[in-house]
Amino acid sequence: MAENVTHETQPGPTPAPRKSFFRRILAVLKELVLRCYALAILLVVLWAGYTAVAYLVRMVFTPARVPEEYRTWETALPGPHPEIMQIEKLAGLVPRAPIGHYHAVDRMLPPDLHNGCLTSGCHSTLAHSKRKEIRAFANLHATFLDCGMCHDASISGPTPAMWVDDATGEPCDAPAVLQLMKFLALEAGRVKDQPAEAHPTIESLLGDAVTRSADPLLKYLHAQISTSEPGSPVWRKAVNQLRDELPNHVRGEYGAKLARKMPAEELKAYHQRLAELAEPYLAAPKGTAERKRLHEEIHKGILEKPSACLACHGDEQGRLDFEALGYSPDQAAALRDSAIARQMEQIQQGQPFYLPKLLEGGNERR
Amino acid sequence: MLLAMLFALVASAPVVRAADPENCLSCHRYRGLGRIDEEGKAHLYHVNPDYYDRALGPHSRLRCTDCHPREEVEVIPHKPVSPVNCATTCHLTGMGDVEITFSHEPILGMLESSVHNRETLDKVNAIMGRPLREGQAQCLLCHDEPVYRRPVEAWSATAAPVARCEVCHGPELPVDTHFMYWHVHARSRPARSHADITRACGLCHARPEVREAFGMPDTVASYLFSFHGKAMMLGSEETASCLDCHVGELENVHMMKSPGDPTSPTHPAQLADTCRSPECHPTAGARISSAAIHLDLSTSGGIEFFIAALFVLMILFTFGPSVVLQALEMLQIVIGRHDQRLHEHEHLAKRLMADPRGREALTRFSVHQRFQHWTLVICFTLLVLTGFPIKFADRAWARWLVEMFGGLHNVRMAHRYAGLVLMIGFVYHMVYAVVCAVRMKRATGQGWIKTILGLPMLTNPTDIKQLFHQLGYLLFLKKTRPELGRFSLKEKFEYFGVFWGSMLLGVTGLLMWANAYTTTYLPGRVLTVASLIHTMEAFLALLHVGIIHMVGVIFSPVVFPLSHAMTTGVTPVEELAEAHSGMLHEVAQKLGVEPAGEVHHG
Repeated sequence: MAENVTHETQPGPTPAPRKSFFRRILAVLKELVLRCYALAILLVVLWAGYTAVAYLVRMVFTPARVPEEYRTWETALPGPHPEIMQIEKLAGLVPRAPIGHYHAVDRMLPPDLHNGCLTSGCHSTLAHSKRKEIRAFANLHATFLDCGMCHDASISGPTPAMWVDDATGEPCDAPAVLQLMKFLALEAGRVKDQPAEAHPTIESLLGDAVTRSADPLLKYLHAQISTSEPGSPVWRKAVNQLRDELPNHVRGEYGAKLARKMPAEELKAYHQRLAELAEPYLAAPKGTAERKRLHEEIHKGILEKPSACLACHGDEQGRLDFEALGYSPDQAAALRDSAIARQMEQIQQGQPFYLPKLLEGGNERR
Repeated sequence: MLLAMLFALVASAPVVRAADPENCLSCHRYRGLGRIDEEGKAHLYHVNPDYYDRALGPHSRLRCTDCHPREEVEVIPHKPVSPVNCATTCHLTGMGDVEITFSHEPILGMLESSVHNRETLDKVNAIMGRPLREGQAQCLLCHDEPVYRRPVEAWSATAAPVARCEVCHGPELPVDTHFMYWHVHARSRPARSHADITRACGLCHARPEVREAFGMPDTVASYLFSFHGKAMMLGSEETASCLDCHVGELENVHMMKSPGDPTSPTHPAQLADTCRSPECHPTAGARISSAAIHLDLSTSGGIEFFIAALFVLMILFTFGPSVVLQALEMLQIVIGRHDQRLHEHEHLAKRLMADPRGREALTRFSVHQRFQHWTLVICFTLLVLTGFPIKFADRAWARWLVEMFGGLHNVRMAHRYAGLVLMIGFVYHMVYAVVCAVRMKRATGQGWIKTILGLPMLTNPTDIKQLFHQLGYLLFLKKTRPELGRFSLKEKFEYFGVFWGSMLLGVTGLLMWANAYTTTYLPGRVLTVASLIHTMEAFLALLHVGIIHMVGVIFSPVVFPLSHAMTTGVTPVEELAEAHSGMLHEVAQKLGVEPAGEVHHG
């Protein structure tokens, strides 16, 4: 027992052997690291040697090849664009357009990745193809109008609408270009007499427009306006130039679309449902009753023949309140009573329209 | 009523430029205007208004009906539009609203007499799967390429200078300043980069089907392999592009002739003058024309191929064994194998190093030698950094490196002057070696031949024996390493490589640098051969230094992170024990130190 006590009261293992053990571990680890390092060097030497010699042999004994960068040059020659028929291949891509040099077309219409009609793989970005008279005009609207605005059977008469961001699918403000045009039109007096008050709005909206379009002239004007004193000759000149320039940017490429006003989730769910229903539809064999049933289900409440152009562009009581959607009064008036829309209605009734020569202008700006 | 509607349409349309008096852009400015036909082919009717508003294209002052027949587009919906005929006469509005008629018909005439005549272009169109429709202008085969487009950024670049023009050319003195500026600006310098021109030519000339049909070699690949091509890929606009050689001085590009045509600038009789044009090599000799611009080593079969093949063999038989030896050395460490006498050698090295005389005797490199080595290191590094981006001009890292140096011109200058310093260092080293030999001769009293053969950096029969011994050890056939002296065979071999390489690289580099003098006295083909030798020898040097030498003196676990032999002159004990045990014994013997005993002072 005494011995036991003695043993218990004796100090445990001395630090020295413990340190020695630790050192041994360290030494083993060090040796391991060293050997691994040597192995890595060995592999690098073999790899580098082989690669270098292989390169030289290729260089001397095989025909010279055009480097990848020069081999993958773009070719503008036109051909079918199967990409735009299949939306999954379009995701994230903006493929090149067909012949375009003399029309300065260098990219294809970007797809709307929040549109169920497209993401289902059923319809392409340029979906209208049947009626020769109007198909291109109908497709024209694809960049800024949700399909439902014309094809929703439940819409009739004035319809509340909203702008939906193409990138997020969420409701957003009216495009900055439109807001800016409206501001310059409605607040012309304030811009003239109280430039300091008008300046922040112009600068902010123009900044948003530049972010969206990256247009060099708008960028230049933004820099001019931002760095000059509101009301100074430089500022006024830039604002006047901006007023002239902005209409050139009303081309429907706003990065946003007009859709029927509804909660964002509801809109997303609607398009999601379309895409989901399309999957069994596309999987079903052609001509089967199941396929027909699914087709009917998908297109329930959707007009195959869309609303007439004049539903929006016809008269004061049109479907859309353009001013509320951010358009300036002049633009709104022009859109409400569009001569082109009336002309389209005529053409649809089989009356071709000839452009008279006398309308051609001179070299002045209009 | 329709008329009234159209009046309203025009009045309500957004502002568009005068180049569109028919107001076609009121519809065609929308990107979505288009359709997809039953075959899945896209028909885009969009016309970017910037084309007109910002004069982004050569036809921005034309009306749509100058190209598209009025009877086809005046009716809505438009009739099927026939292909545009580029030879049609169009109407430009010139200064002071004067109408000018214009046509590309003369260009078609030029093309007809050129190598790119109608028959050729038809054949190319057929080979390419007829991308041009029946009747569509053949001009589009080249001119619809993106290369010929002017991006909106180009307009932006001209906006600032044009703003100055508009100070005077305001409403009182109206001129289309953007167009006029661009018209002059575009013609005052090449409108497209060399890279763009190469791409445009390559669309046919690099296409295997086209080359096969016309029996042409891959001239684009061989151009890119040439010095001109490499300079082009590194962003040089001063170097020769396809057009510089294949289009005569001040001639229209559409009049390009075949090299077999006596009037072609690439005809053998004209080639010297083409090379020696004022913009290219005006001081070169007439024989410059024999330099190979479109050289494909594998198919040339000439002296260039044999030289390159010889170098490849040389690399295989020198670098190959070195790699194997280096790998076997690393393998010894990986498996933890050591020379049985390593600890004994280490012990001896430590004892010798503890003594100032031993330490001095074990110093393998004097200050003078170290200075020469570091000069070589700096020059070599600079030469590699400035030379290899040119060799690998098609790689992104090469372009990045060239940009870091501030462009190809700086890279070339740095390369040439670093080479010059290396050559001066080489001559200095030769003088140094001669002085050392003279001193050795005086000290030993031997003849010249014996003195030179006894120089420490020269190989001798013992080195060969030691090499086999070393190989035996590395292949597990012997238990001990050979007792190597101050310089091992590997180090002597590296020294010989630098000696030979500096001479070869220096001479070929000078021949290329002084290409005007070279071609005055020698055929231009000498430049091709010099360039090839320079490249291959540089490759050989980089492989040896980069893979063998640097692993030995920097990355080897024995010396990592750096052997101090070339910084302090003192070789680390471990390195001495493993790689220079012969030297240890030699010094020990000189100082009277017993391998297992103490140092005897005095």
